[in-house]
Amino acid sequence: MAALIEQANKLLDFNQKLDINLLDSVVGCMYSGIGQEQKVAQDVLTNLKEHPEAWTRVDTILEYSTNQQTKFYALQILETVIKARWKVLPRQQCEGIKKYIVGLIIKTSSEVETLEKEKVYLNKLNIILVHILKYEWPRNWPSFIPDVVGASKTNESLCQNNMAILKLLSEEVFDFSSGQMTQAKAKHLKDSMCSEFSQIFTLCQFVMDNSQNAPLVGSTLETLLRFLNWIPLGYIFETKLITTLIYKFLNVPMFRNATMKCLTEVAAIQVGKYDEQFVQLFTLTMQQLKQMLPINTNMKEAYKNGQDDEQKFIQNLSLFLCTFLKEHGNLIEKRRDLNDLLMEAFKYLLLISEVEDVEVFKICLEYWNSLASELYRESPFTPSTGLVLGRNELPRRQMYQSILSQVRRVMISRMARPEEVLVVENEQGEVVRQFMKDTDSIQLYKNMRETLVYLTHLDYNDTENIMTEKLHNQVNGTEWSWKNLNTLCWAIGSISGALHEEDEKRFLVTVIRDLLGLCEQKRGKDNKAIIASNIMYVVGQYPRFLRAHWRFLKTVVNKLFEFMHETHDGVQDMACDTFIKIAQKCRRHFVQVQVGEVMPFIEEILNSINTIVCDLQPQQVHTFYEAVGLMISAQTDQTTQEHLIDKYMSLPNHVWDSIINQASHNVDILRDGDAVKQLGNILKTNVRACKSLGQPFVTQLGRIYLDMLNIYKVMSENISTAIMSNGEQVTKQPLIKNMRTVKKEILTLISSWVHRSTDATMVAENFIPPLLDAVLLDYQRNVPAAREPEVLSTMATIVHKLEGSITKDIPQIFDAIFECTLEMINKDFQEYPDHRTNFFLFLEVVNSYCFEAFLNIPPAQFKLVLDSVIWAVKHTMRNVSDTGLNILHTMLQNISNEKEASPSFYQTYYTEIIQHIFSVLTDSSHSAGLPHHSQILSYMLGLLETNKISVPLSVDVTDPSQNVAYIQSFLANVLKGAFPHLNDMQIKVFVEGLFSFNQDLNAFKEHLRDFLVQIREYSGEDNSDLFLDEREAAMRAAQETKLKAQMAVPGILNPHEIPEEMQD
Amino acid sequence: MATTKKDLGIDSLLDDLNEKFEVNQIKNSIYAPHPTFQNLYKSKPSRSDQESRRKKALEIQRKKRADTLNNLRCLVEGSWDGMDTTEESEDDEYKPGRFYKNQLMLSEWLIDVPENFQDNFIMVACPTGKRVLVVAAKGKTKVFSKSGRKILGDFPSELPGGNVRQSSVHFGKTETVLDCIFNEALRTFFILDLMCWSSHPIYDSETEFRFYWLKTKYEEEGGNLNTMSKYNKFRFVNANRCDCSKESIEKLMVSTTREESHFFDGLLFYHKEALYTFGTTPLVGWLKPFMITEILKVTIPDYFQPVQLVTQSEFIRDYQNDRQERIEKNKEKQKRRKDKEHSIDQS
Repeated sequence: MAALIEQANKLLDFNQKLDINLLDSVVGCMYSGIGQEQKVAQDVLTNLKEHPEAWTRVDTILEYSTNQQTKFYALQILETVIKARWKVLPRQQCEGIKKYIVGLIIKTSSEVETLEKEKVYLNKLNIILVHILKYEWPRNWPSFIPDVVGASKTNESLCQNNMAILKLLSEEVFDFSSGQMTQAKAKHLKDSMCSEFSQIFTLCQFVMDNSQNAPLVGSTLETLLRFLNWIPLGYIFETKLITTLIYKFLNVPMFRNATMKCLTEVAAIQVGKYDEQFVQLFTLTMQQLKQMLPINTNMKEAYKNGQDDEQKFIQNLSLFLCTFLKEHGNLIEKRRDLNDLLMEAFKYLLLISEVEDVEVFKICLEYWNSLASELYRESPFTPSTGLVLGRNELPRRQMYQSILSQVRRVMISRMARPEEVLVVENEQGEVVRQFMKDTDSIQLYKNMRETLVYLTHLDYNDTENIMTEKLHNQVNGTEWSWKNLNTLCWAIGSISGALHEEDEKRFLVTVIRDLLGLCEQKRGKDNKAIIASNIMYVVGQYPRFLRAHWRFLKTVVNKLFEFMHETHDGVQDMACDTFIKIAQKCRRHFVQVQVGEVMPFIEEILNSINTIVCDLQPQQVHTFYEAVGLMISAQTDQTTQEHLIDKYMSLPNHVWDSIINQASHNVDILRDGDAVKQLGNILKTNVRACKSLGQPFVTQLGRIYLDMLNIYKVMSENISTAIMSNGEQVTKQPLIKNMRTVKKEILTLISSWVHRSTDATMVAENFIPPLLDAVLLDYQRNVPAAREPEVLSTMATIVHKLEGSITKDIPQIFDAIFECTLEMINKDFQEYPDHRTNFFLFLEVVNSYCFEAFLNIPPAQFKLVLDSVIWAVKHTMRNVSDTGLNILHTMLQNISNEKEASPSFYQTYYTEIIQHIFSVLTDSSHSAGLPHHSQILSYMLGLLETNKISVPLSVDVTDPSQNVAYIQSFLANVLKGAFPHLNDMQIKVFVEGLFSFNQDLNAFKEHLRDFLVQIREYSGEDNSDLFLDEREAAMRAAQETKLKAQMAVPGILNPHEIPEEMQD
Repeated sequence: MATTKKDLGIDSLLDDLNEKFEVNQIKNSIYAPHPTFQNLYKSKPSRSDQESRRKKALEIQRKKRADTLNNLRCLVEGSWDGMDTTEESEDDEYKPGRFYKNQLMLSEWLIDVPENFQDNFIMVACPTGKRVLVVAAKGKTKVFSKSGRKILGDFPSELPGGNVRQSSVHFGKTETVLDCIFNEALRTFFILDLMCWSSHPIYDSETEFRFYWLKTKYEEEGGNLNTMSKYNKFRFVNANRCDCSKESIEKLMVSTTREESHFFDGLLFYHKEALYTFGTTPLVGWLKPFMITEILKVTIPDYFQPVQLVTQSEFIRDYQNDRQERIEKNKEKQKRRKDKEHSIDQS
């Protein structure tokens, strides 16, 4: 083995001839060896790869090596040199490499056997060629396309590979170029490719018309597919391309998928002319299709039992139909003679909509959604089903009537699950239910619901009838199953708000009655529980109905209370979830005296709260309390509300008092597992009550506040003592975890209430001083492992809410938490992530709302603050670096308003800051921060130019007016040092440009980005991440427009997504 | 075209909602409003079948006992002639659940006054709290909810078998099982019923005997149960009981102070002959204090009435204001609707 190591190093000696066999064995060692041997091999190979002359050995390796892996290794070397250093290689060597690669490709692809055998190798060569092309073509290689086309005509397998090359080139230029190169270059390449396309096209046509070579034809079709999204339209519509595809290739099993995809690409083209051709595309494809796949084929079964290839075809077919109909459906609609064909196309789509594959369904769903919304928008306002609108006025709806009815059936039969609840164990070891917000499945539900709502508006009666019919089929057993019932109820729940109120009421009465009948009919707890849950779900989805019918609402709520004692799995959870949903939407009705009642229902609830919750688990009790709190929050009379709150909290307060009482006799009770757990639960109840009540919670908070802070101190002491006696691992024990839970909940409660409070002065005077006393010193004195990150977030909330009222306390807060936390997080970028995030959030709010405090702390501490901000900026964790950049920006703005403090600030820190910004700017792991960096830089340079800086920025400068020049040369030096491969001219242009563009933020950012691209090109790194923010902004804009459009349609938004209106 | 809220649709729907919306087929569940006391709807007052169900339940229990006695006689005589050989039909006796689930005897609302109420029933005062099963065995005391979920960690108690010191005295072979109410604030278990004391099970004894046994054993051996100590983490106290004569009931209610009334949940009425069975049974009735005035015609102190936060005059004022508001709103709605119809007609 030692021998191998010695020998291996010989490979690195470029004065010797390369020993291929040695290389092969070293490579073999790296791939299949183990331990030390393998590591050495790997090191040697890495060194070899990085050697600047390594590429000169590539040809030898490829020629003589017998090991496939060695060849790939060699190709890696080649690829690297091309991507990173092409521009610095001498011209002659570039030409040499070009010739070599081309020759190698031709050699390997000329024979059918080698073409097949060396597939992977050849593909790699192709990719390398395309990398070269990106630099060389068209300027240094104008003959490339003609050469390729010419060579293709001589040899079929060569032609096949050339098609592959063209495909790769097309993708690089048109699909992937947006991130890789400047706009200008991308445009140039596209133009070149378009202008040379005619030769390529002729070649393709030739192959398609004449070739009998199946793989070649396949390769050509794949290549054509890539071309279709950019070639000049004349090639598509003014040749016989479309007819060839349809007649010659569509019905051939081997080609049908590629062909279908090509036809879909064509269908997706949006252009004002060529109507006839589009119509022809449709009619011919449909005719061919009807022969391949008879119109009554059971698509669902075919998909289920089909091979991969067949499944893909069904998916591609759906994409074709949806794309075509969406873009050009109107052309077919207009033609009466094509009506039948159009209906057949829809028939296909309806059948495919039943395929049990989510991806296929999503394709169809998107189309149904766009069709339904389009038809709806033609005439959004229709009266209730009482009046019949003249059908002549809406011909399109008339035409689609039967189709839409079937689409309704599909939607109703396949409605997705509306909510996802995950049962997880949290950090404190508690099993909790988490409601998922943004999964794929929920997105599917949203889309389906939207579609069904539109469909309902298009024909209320039909929707109702279908649902009623399916409900009957549950009752008569023909469609009865748990899954079917769930699906149907989700569908019923999804159209809440879409029907007119009177119709909705009638409909709902029928639905509930049938469901109740079903509940009575079915035997067994399992069945009854499912049906009961569904009834609860439906009822919870129709708050409008509940608000209009008090007796019904009351009965439902009483039933929910009954269910809160049901031991069967899931019933209690469903009851509590429904209860809080109803409480949110109907809260006012519980605090008013309703007709036929003697007191507001809230009082009945409070009178029996004990009995209602006695069988619930703690989590469920908390949900219950939150719900009742919502009701109480609707009571506008303050005195009444206070009495209600008093009674509402009496149960937890009793237990609280008893524990406090005991603790005052014997503090050991606070080390008892049960008591600590009880405290935790009581505090959680308080947190939920606070969440619902907001400011009025103050009476309850006041009652327990001081005792609560004492508990905090005692818990903290207990934890510290335990850690000091037994080490940090004691924090994993249940008792200690529960004690920490108590601390955390106390902090959560306080910050939650402060956040909702309305009288900053009152809070600052009464609640803050004891809090600071209890919490701050404790935080500082504790060992890091026992410090709660929530202390930091609570302080942040307080500062944010109280703003100026808390400024005087900032120095005290800083003394306690600033340095000791900084110590915890300045050793690396990862430890104590929660403390890290919260620490910077705290700084951010102090910076934004109590900036004066920064001027009052000692300079040494201020320097620490600034250092920590810069430290934040350097993090790759995006949330931390973003916060850091925000703080920096705001700080600069704040400072510029301080006439007295700013001069010394600039003198001390200006150049340091600008240097740090440049260092993260040019660090590729921070590319997402580009917009931020550019904003800050432009602001700082702006300060210079507008003479806001009235002092010299450096000892070398005598006069402030020389600052600009000084900074320019300062920057130039810094950049030169960091990037020696840039020449002086480049740097000069860049620096000057900084000062020209800094008024226009966009141009400034572009300028920076171009500079980064230049740097990167020399190190061969990928640039697409530099364009991330544009993409994100585009997505956000699209979302906003969509949301606006949605809000206008009744019923589109889930009643629980609509902000509180509370109309009666 | 104002809609009246008194359509037949809603009324019959409410009936259905009350009768059919359930998972368990428990009659007169105490977690639903008491049938006599809900002023929601005027459904046809079904005559309560509670009394007949009581009789049936007792009959089943008696038959079982008779069978057991018969069996004993056969054993003694050595002959099984004349014994009924058919398999017993499935009676509706509720089976206990596994893993500590459904191990308690639960009550229904007392709807009607049973026959010979005074002679046949015993009343137990029930404090507020959680209904639990207490199992003391092998030196530990464990507590379970109705659904079988464990509440509180294991702790020591002075029940036989409930702490290590006790256990060793009895060679680790003693068990006690109780049916209790646990009040968190008072840290006290109120004993409702006894199923097994010191390894002696009495599930199959009548209520009268079980209560007697409970009282006796508590007095004899349960001296330490009333105080919290190292070996008795929580207090165990016998719930108050009395016979069901009017005088005794009134006496018990009066002797409960105003403060104590805040912890007073309600009253259980056990049939003297009832064995300890599992799940709800018509042989145990339940009433809230304010209900016994009406149903049993017993007077109770006024602090047992449910507290109303809204005073009479406020109520009237609120009601009138709300009514006025509602009338205005309805008018507006009608006007809007007329306008809309009008505009559509014109288009």
